Amino acid sequence: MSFNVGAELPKEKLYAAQKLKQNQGQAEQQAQQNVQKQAPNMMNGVQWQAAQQSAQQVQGAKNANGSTATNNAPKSFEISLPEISDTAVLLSTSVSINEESVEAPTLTRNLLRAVNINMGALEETYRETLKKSRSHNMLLERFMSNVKMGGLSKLLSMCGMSAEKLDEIKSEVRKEALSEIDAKLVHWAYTKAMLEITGGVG
Amino acid sequence: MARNKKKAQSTILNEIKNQLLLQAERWDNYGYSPIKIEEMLKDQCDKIKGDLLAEKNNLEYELNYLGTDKREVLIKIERLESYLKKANKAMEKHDRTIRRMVDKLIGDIKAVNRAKGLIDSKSQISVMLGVN
Repeated sequence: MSFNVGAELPKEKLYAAQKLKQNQGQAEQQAQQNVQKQAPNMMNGVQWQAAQQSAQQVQGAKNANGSTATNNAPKSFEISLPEISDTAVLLSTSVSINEESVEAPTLTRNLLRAVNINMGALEETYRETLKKSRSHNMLLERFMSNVKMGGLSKLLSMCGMSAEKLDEIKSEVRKEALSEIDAKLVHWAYTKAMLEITGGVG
Repeated sequence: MARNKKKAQSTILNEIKNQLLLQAERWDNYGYSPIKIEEMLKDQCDKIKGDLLAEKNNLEYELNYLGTDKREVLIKIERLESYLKKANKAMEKHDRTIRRMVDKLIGDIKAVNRAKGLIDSKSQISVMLGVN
């Protein structure tokens, strides 16, 4: 098969084609080197076997001083699994060990830890929301009690807060809110009485 | 103008009271009855009266023992006395309101007294012993 390059073919195109071929070859070499450089403990069985084989091939080629033998050798990969021993180590489980306690899924907890949720701040927000959920303003009360409270209590329970703790917070907030209302009513009565006496409201 | 001001003050105070009572109800506390509110008002009147009396004592001490402008102190004492009278009137008014509310709860006082008398009266058993 003959390939004649005509004089009219632009030289720029030829140069670009040559450059592209060189780049592809370099990229392939780079990928092979990356596989070899990977730490053996981080590789799975297939990668490790391939890396070993390629290293052996390179070594063989060096010994034989010839490049044709390595190029023509069939590339066969074997899947090797890590040794199976008799003992099995259970690292984590989502099944509750105690019958009376339920563990939150580990994945969710790790996720929440990764997002960096501040439990104290979340609890404080829950208290504030709980207070506002009994507001005299109907729209605020509906929104806080239905939307925000639901989401927050779900989030807190996902973070591992028990139902008893949530009930405890609720009772504390109720006590605080009622004492606050009582103090405000006393203040209101004082203001009204003062206005009555000093000639304001009759 | 003064009447409008009084009306506005009264409206605002009532609105605040309603909001606070609504909040208490939403926390399942229904203990703030109208009688309790009146009692609170009466207590606060009493407290203000005590403050006014203490202030009056201070002014009298100032009048008798310290060398201050006596005329000014006397004016202040007069004003305080008028406030004290108003406080007494307000307390009486709240007392009457509380009594009226209690009477309303009781209902017909005469009927209640009659029922009370019937309950309290000891049953008497008369036994006539005949001599054969």
